[in-house]
Amino acid sequence: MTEKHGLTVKVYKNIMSSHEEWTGKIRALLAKNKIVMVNIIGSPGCGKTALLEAILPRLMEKNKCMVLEGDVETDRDARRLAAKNIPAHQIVTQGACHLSAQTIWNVINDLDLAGLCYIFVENVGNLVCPAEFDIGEECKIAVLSVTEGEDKPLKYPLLFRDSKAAILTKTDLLPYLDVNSGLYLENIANVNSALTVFPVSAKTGEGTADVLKWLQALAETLAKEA
Amino acid sequence: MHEFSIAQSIVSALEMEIGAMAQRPGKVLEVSVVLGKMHQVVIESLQMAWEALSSDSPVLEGSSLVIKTRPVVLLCRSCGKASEKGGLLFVCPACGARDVEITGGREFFIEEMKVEKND
Repeated sequence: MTEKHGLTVKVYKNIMSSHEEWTGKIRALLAKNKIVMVNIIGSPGCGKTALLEAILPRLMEKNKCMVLEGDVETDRDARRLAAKNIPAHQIVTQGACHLSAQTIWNVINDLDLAGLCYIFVENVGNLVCPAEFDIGEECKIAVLSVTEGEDKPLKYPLLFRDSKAAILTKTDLLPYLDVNSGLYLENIANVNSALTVFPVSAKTGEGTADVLKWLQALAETLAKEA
Repeated sequence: MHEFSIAQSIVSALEMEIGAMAQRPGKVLEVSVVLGKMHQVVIESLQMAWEALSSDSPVLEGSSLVIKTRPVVLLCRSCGKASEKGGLLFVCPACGARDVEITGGREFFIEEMKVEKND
């Protein structure tokens, strides 16, 4: 390889610095309006939308919520949520494998945020890319279903290290699967022992009350810190 | 493939940096980035994405990308030792504790660029 000669200019700049304008604006807008934004990340079909369908109607009894749905194509998920009277805004990325901070800013800057307590961003189904891109959220939640394999936390460590909670979905299927649910928990702990883990079934409702309490406690803690 | 988005982010960050310079540097020949292994970037894919995206940038066209990686380093909150992560688990290699902090491997920055000397 030919060595290139020239002047060396030190840069030392964060690769994501072009996104920081947007994440800064998002965090400032959310803080001003006292809104908690959560970034929900998991593979396609792990049960992100079903989880929101199961939890939000109860959360919305006392808290105004909005869901931003990210998908490569279709508005099916937003329509599913709307059918349960959950306010949802669909973002179609047309190929992008994750939602970007600029996209999120463009959406929330146009929304009526009055009285809103929570924004749930259901990111594009993907365990890799969304973990890399800060969208101005308060925290990430990793979603993993019991059908995906106990080794997934080890295969996707960035997501599990950088999340505040992990939700293990579809626990109603455990009697029909040849999986070790304890190994899921152990592998999550082997990547991030500080992660709060919720085994959940959106179908039966098992475990959803604990997720609800955690979300409520999160908002209360942030309100006190503010 | 998030390598494409990462390459785009590098291009954008550099265009911002060069745009903010009081004196425009010479043609950019080479860009060096430091990527920690927590980011799970496929080097070859990032190189391909760089070739495609930099060719569209007036300030970066024709430049090459040098990628320096950094290992994941765990600082154990139990025994205080810092060790390179070996294997799949985020546990202290010295004492086996899970209460570890990542002190290396998250690096994600543009280190430097080589530019042609202006006459």
